[in-house]
Amino acid sequence: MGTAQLKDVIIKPDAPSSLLLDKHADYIAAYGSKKDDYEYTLSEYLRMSGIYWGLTVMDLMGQLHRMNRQEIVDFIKACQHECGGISASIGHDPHLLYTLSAVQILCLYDSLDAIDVDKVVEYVKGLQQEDGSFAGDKWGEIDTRFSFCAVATLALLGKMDTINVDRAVEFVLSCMNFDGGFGCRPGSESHAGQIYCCTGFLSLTGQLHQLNADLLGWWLCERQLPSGGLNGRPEKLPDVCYSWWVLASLKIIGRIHWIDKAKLQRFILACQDEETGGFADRPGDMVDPFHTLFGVAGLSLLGDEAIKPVNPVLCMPEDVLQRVGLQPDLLS
Amino acid sequence: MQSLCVQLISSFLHYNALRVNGEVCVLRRKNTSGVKHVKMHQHNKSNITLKKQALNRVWLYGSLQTKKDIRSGQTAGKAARWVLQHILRQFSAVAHKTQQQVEAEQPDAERTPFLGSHLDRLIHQEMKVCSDAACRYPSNYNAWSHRIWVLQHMAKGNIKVFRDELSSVHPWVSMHVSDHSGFHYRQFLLKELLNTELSQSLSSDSANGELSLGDAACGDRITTVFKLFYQETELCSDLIQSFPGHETLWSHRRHVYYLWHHWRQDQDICSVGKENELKPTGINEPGGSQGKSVDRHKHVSVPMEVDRVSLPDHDSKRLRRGILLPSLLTLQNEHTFVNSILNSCCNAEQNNYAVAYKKWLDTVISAQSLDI
Repeated sequence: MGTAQLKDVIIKPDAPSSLLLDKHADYIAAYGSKKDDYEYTLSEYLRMSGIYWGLTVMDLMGQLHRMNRQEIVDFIKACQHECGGISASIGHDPHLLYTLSAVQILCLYDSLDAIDVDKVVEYVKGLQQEDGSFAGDKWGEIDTRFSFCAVATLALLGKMDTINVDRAVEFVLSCMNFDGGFGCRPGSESHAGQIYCCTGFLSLTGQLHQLNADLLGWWLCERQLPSGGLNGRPEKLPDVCYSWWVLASLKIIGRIHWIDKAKLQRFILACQDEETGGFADRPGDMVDPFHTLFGVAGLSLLGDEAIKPVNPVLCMPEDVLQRVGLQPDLLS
Repeated sequence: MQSLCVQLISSFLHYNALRVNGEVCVLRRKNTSGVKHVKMHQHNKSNITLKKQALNRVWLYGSLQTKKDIRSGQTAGKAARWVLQHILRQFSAVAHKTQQQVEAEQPDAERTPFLGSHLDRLIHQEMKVCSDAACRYPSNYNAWSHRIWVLQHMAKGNIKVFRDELSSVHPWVSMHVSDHSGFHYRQFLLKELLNTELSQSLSSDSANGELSLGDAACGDRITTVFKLFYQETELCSDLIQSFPGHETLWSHRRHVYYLWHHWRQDQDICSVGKENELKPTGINEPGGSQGKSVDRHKHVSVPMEVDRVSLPDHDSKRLRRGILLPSLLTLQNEHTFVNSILNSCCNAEQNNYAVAYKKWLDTVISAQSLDI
């Protein structure tokens, strides 16, 4: 007979318990300044998303002015391909993921005119399949993440009517599982990241009423572990990024009060690194910009007033979306 | 003739390169962040052997990656699905041509069994690769979802493959009781078997009209389904008792019970619908899923005889054919099981999961079992 050791972390008593915003701003501002850094080089394949994470968290902390706007806008221009799609970095192939990140960055900077928007729309539209799903790029991988990327991109550009929205909705709903959650494709296991993408998708397409909010909310709040952190699926360790995917989903479906907010906040704060700044996936691990954004964004959703309000659907500052004129639906 | 040829050329600092018909396509191998992309160009539309070689190279590449290199596994999976789709298109083109030859009574139309065995070998190979990947990285979402993809695209309606897979992963999940993806795979297999059984019983009923020859076959199928659920529930109960405090096992139990519950509802609908032309009311099916599948997510207002002692006419007919309805798998028995766990166990997590399961039964299942 084996007794399980619950998969969770123990938060040490000396773990950080207050928000170190200045340290995080310094960490992000300095990130990428050493371009021959090993980790920085290895992550070139996702550079566009990396920039989106860094800029968004800086904006949420009111520190966007410390980043090099012109260099970034020029970089994005150089990453738009003839087909209209945008790549992660110069010389890489275009993909929906990086097309969305690029559009999000240009919205932050109010510089959508830097790229050919019509071509972006054409690229996104061209990736929709007959069954309503979206491929990530020309190689045809289907995933509900790409459905989210497609509608988020088009929503920010005000061009959602160019795709077959009904079909797109049909496909996403076909990925709904008995537990109220969503997987990457029909029949796939429910996963908090995919759930975030699908609830975000349904919000942007005005179809949140198709969800079983109670059932899904229940699955989501079962992600909370004794440490207060959230995982993405049963028997996985907690991770600060799931504190975003799960929390944002709960916010969208109007059930954020189902989570123990104080315990989650304690977990997120414990993921900070007091020396280097930034957040790690869990206490004591190495920090990175990805987890830094989702830690700060999670705290914003929990109501921390030192951070700007963040939109749970698009993970962008609310004031940016107000300027763009986009207010995605939320359930109450 | 140009051919699709994938060769692992060399491994040097940070790079593996695949030569595709003379064009070097770069895979950037990274220890933590994985692969950039795989490029393949199809030049020869008919050479299945070479495509299989390509698959082997893709998986060899994927298997070289370290345990934590999830992205490489993802990319290998993407590339494999791309190649497999090409192979499938070829198979179906050849099978179609074969069918035409058969209809034209041409003597060399013997390639379908050959193709069938090719397909079986491919499926078997993909299952092995997924199994290896699952061992390398716990609860490997990508490996298991690739495994599901392969069966969805290459083994549709193939009961034997689903049954074999159910047997083959049985020992694996028993040794990996935290692996939620592994158990989800069993749920997928069960659901596919049910949908196949259900669609076969529907078509034989509609073909036969009155209850006649179709009856015995229908009875066999019902017995088969009962056995499936009984065995799965037994497996689940054994593991829950042997390994207290695993959320995965309780989550599996919810899935299995849900499938059983809705399969029973569908059986009642089919029989009642046939005899009385009663259509289920109040169905609000998201995602356009058809009423006869077990993919229900909303409340269904149909007569449910789950826990009653006296059985309606259609169940009596089945009893007359000598098929026993199991006394297990009732709501009452599930509550009994939960109470036995709560009474016997002192593991705090096990207690929590048992209580949560009880709450789930009361909230989700009971709410979907409305009597009219």
